[in-house]
Amino acid sequence: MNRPLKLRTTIVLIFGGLAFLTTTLVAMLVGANARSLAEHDARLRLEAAATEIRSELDRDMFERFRDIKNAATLSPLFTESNAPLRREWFDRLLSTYPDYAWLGFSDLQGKVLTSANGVLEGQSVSARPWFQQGRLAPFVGDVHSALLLEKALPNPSGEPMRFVDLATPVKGLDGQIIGVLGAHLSWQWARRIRAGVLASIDEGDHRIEALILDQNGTVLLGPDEFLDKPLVLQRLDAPTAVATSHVLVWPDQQPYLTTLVKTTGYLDFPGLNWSVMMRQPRAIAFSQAQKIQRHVLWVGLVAAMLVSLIAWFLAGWLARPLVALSRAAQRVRQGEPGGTLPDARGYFEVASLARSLKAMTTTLESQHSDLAELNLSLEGRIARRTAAQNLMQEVATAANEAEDLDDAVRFGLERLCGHLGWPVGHAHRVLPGTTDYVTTDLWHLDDAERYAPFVEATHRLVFHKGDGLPGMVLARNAPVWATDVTQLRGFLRTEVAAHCGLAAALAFPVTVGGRTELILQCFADRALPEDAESIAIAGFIGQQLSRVAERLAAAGRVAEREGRLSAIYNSVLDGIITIDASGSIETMNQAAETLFGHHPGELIRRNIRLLMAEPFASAHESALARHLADGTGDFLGTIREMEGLRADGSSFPMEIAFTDATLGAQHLLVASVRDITERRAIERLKNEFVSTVSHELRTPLTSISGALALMARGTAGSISDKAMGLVAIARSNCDRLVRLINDILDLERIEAGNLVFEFEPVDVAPLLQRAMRETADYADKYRVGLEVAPAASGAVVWGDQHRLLQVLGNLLSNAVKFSAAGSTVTLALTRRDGMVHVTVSDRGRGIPDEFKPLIFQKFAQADASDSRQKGGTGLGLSIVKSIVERHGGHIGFSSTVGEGSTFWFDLPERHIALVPEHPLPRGDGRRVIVCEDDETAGEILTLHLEEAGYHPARARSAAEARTLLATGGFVAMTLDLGLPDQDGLSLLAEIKANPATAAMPVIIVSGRPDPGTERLGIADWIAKPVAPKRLIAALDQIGFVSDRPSVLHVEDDPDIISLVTEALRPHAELVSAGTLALARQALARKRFDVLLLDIGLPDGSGLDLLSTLDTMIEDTRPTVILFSAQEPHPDRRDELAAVLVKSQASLDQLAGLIEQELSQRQAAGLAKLSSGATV
Amino acid sequence: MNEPLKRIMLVEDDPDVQTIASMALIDIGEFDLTVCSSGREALELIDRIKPQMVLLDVMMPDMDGPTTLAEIRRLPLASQPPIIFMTAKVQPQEQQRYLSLGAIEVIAKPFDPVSLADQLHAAWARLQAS
Repeated sequence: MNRPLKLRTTIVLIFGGLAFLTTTLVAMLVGANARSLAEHDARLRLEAAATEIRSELDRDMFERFRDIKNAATLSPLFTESNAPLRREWFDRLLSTYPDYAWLGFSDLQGKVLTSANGVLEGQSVSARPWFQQGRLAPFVGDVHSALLLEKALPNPSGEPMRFVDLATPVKGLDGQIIGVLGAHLSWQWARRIRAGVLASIDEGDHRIEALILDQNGTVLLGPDEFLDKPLVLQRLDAPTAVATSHVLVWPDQQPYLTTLVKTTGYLDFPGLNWSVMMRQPRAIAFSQAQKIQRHVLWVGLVAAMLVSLIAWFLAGWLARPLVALSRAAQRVRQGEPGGTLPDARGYFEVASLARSLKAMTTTLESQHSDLAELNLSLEGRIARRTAAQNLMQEVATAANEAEDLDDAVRFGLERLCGHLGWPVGHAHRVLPGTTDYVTTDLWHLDDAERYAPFVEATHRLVFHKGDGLPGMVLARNAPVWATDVTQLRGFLRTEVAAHCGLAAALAFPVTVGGRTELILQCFADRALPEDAESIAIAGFIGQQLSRVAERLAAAGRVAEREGRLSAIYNSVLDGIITIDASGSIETMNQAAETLFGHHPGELIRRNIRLLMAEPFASAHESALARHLADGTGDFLGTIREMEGLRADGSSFPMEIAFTDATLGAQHLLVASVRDITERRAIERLKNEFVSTVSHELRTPLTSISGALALMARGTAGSISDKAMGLVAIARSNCDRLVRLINDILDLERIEAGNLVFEFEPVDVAPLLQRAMRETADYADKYRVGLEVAPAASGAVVWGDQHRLLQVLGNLLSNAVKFSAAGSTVTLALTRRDGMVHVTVSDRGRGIPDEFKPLIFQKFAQADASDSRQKGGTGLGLSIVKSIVERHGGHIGFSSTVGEGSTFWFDLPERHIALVPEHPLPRGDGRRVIVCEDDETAGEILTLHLEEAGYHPARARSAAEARTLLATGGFVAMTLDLGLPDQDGLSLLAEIKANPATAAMPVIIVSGRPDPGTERLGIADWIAKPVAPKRLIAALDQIGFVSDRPSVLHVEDDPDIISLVTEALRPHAELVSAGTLALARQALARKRFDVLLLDIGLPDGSGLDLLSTLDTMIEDTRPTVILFSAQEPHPDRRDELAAVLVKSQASLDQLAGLIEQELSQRQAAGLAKLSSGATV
Repeated sequence: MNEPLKRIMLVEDDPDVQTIASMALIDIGEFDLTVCSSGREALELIDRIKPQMVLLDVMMPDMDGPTTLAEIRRLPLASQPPIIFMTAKVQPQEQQRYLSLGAIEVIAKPFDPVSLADQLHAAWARLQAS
């Protein structure tokens, strides 16, 4: 709403406003001036009038007074006699001066003697103040109303008559006061004066009024409403001799200009102290001023209007050209045809404005059109640029994804031609090995027919380096633009190009590995100047295609290499399996898959332990774990033999070795696997062969040597000495043969690594004793003494007792053999540096120096004949050396010819107190001490116990037993009463007395009869010979109410078994059975607390076991938990304590559940125990 | 049960070894010896003979030593005699195996016929003791 005002309006307003203001101002000023003047004028007039009235009043009064006084001096007049004269005079006076209302002469008594017209003649006026005063001196009496007179005098006006009294004493001729001359002035006189004055000053209705006030302020003459009352006016000053004027508000609330002047008397007339007041309504008084003001105002307004009008026209005149300009500009702006600015016309400013505008418009218009042009061209450029960007992006994406170079080239040509809007594009390929180029069949044609000739021509050509457009491209190794190929020098297809209407061309290279492999060309259907942008795009496309080519080539190389490696990998006969740190299989080569009978890829990401049978799988895992944890152990690089598991569940002997392959930060473990079934078979065959051969060799030898022995003994009768000698010869050679066979076999087995040692702690001192005992006969024969030096006791080595005996036996027999009769061979034992050092010393022949290096070789004998005589085979020492070395020891000798030899060997010492070598079953807890001094029996027991799933530890004496017990962790003990160093029963007592072992069940194994199990507090008494099954049954039945309840896990999936075992290990002892049959066996053999059942078993459903359980006594019946992939039929649900579905339940859940069940059982079991049931 | 050892049964297929062993056991050991040439024969005779001890050759055709032992053990005899194997297979683990089959002892071939009787006596004594 704030539109600026028009010029016209503004000017008008301004001018008009100014004029108006001026006028108003002037009017006001003038008015004010005029008013004051008028006021002044009015005041003056009134004052003058008032003064005049006052003067007249005073004068007249003076005159009349004078008259009277003068008259009074005419004494003769007042004589009696002159009464008629007097009367006549009086009458004349009265008629001359109508102001006299009465004139009369009274005597001193107040009787009117003479009066004008005889009024009041004869009446008494003695009461009258005029008389009383007049008698004394000349007197003027104030206005009063005279009642008497009133009646007597005519009153034409009808108004109440008022009079002013005049009186003077009259002196007679004698000078004595004879009477009083008095006159009453009629108030008409005042009125007359007033009227006269007023008339002279008031031409019209000026409403001037005059009032006469007496000395008290009572109105003597004036408007009726004020008559005879004191005049009360606010701010009325006291009258002064000089007239004063004020505007006063009279009782009627109107302002009046009021003048007041006091009578002053005249000459000797003192006056009556009257005041004359004149008033005029202010409005009227000042009306003149207002009139003037109004006039001025009107004039001013008229003038203002006139000025406005003029201004209007002036403004119009000023504005018109501007308006015209503005309108024209509007038209121009709106683009109306013919809208141009008017030329420069009008006054100077307008003209120059018009000129400027015109010029500006012209400039603007031209700029505008320039801009439009530019915009258009810019848009075009942007569109082209965008198209180019899109094209490049498309090409780049296609290049990234392209699988085939030809397709990529086709795509590139198509897009480029599309972008450029050119009809023809194609590609040349370099002939490999040459610099010639031929065209490919990669064409892009908008119109195949039209350009067919060109295509044909191109196909027929073979370009050489430098030819045509491609040649140029090659020369520059950059895109080339030809404006018009038909004009291009060196272009080989000029004619056909012209024929087809092709002109401009763009060619660019595609290089792969620095060599240009392709040249792409695009042709346009008209001549075009070189366009940098298109060239850039072409270059870009060329690069992209290069990339594609390179990428594909690289990929091809990689694929080829991969293929080669893969072929090698898969052709290898050995299985190669790579696993990660957790044992999860990453790759398996073909051989491995075939070997284990799995489908390709079937085992990826499954654990390699699936391919191993127990216990090898667990052993493998622990070795792997140890390797990963601290790098110790021989997990890597060791060839292990184990049982492998095939997919069909069958096992086969395999050799496996792990190596580490490091790929940057990744560690790959590579297992190479070989099926050694054949080798094993061969070995077995060989062993069998060896065994058979040895048997075959030995059997006839048995007969030979037996026969000879009997003959020698004489059992077959006596024979001649000669014959006896021959028999002896035969016998000794036979023995030699036997020994040879044994040695050969031994050596062969040692060499093949097949000699099995059974390592155990061996107390060396007793071993020496035994060796001595066994060699005693032999020594006797040679009459050589054997002695053992007092040995350090407690020397224990880890070794195979048999073989160590063999070593000692061999050394001893050698020593004896080469000792002289009567000499002694000494055995000695020392401990030093953690080694047990055994020496066999003889005082025999000694060993010659040249033989010393050969002494441990096979069949090396110093003196063949000699040794033969002594019955040696020549193999002994090499066997002995092998055995000692297998024990981790060393063998050596020292010898002096003629003095004797000392053979020694060292074995690493073993401390019994150590934790046994075989890793303790990981917390399984079924460790049992087998305390048995009889080697054989002990072996048998140990074997059987192991088979039954226990972990037996051998003690051969009470001392050993104590030591083992000290290590703790045994759940039971078999005790042979006949121990070498202590009575078994006393050991039992010790065990029972020791609170640590008191609770351990002890099974006595003895030949003695059973005195009653309970008395001794033992678990069972088994008579010898121990039927191992009996023992195991006893052990089983002990039931081990310990913290470690037993769980039978019936499950065929080894993975699950191992997982569950792992999970339950801290809670229970787990026995696993893979089939129903095995499960039934286990159940028959042992009491279990919990049965963990899988349904899907190879030989039936796990639920079938439940019927087996039904036959068991309540106490012994295990709690059944189903852990299966399938869910049981609801009907069977009651038989199960719990069901866990494999896919849903976690092992933690399972463990927790089992714990729960077990604790419930335990509570029940313990309750039973405490009630005194037998163990 | 301190019976003296008298009745022995020998199960051996090789006639020569039979001869030697017989001489060793009869002439030297003064045992009552029954010689069986095969496991079968042994099974047939064992109930009648009721030997106190059986010497069992391992390598026999048809029914070998271990099988014979198993069969003997299956027989419902009044008392099962202790069995001693005789074999040329002298590896300790093989011997263990034979022991684990239930034999009380393994005697290696070639054996010393002169001491054979003593060995049997010793074994018998050990058995009595336990």
